[in-house]
Amino acid sequence: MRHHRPLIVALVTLTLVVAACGRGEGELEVLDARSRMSPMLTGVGAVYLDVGNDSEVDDQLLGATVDPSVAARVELHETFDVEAEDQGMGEDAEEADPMGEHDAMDDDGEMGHDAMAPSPEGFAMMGMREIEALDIPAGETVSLVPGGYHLMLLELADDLAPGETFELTLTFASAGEVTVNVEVREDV
Amino acid sequence: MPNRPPWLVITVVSIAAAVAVSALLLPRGSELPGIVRDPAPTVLGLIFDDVWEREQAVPVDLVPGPGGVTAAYFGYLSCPDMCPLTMGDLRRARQLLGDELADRTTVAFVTLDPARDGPEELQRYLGLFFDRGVLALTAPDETSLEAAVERLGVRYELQEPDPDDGRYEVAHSAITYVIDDRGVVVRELPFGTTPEEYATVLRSVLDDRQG
Repeated sequence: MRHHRPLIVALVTLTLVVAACGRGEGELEVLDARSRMSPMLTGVGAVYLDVGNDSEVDDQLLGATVDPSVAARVELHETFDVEAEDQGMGEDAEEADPMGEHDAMDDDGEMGHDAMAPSPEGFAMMGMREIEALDIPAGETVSLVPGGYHLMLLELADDLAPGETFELTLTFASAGEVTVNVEVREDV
Repeated sequence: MPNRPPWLVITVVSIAAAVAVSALLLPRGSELPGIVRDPAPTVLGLIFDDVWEREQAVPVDLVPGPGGVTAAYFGYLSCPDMCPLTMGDLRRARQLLGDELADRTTVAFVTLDPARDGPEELQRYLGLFFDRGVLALTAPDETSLEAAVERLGVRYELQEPDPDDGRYEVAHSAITYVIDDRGVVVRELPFGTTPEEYATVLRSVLDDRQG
């Protein structure tokens, strides 16, 4: 059998390469899926990630699932300025950019200090709500970041401790299901 | 009472906006991040119950010991996004300070959701982030909480419960109040401040108040 070994190795390698190329050009790419350390007792955690849509078709992120050993369910959420909403500045939950988070990004995509500017009443009051779907337009990258959109893990089965990883399966309207590895980090 | 002339309103609003914008833009340079209020509020006389590693809650204020600094944050434990992120950033900031300065730094978490966040919950939650130098605080009564909230300009509002599972969120301003050993809020840092920036601000207060 020994002389077959290089062939087997080559076949295995080829299989891996093909698998790795499965989501290549012209498709959705999910990058940098990460979660922040969270205590189990409150039952909630959040996952952040970037979705790049290299295809020519607009897509939507509809939701996600994780193994029950991680959390019972996952919801798509956005953090928003409660009063901007009250003033009718953002009537459509899915179209609105109530935090102005697109403006608030620094060049490196992180939140800036100006994200929560003090209004005459003080700093903005941020709320959180579930959304049905998140648009991922063709040719664009949408980032789920702290203070903006996140996938909320509910009924955590255990603490999310730094260094751990878990699988998350995202459901897109067009691209279907995409499974990624989420890394629990001390900083996200 | 006569109507104010429109130009006056416009001028006042413009000046206010310019001040607000410059307060936010200044930190981009060599200045420290966050804002400083004038006059700066103090935390003197604001009393909370500390449940950190205690059999029974002990009344405390937010004033650090001599030469120390307190970073105080108002939030709720069921918050998935801003609260744990801020606690994690402060944990990292304290690591960046090194042992000597970290020992003089206290992180205080005040719950805005005392109905759900009991002593045991506060203790376990904060225990994931910190092993020492932390105050797990709840207001002894609603009046005390309102006094603190009003003094510091904390804003919060319990949201409508989810009709399906009764879960509710607490909308709130996500600000870290940096308090020196005189009890003065010397700087307010919004959510999104980096661990490095928290460390820089904490270090500057510690340096200022030394000796």
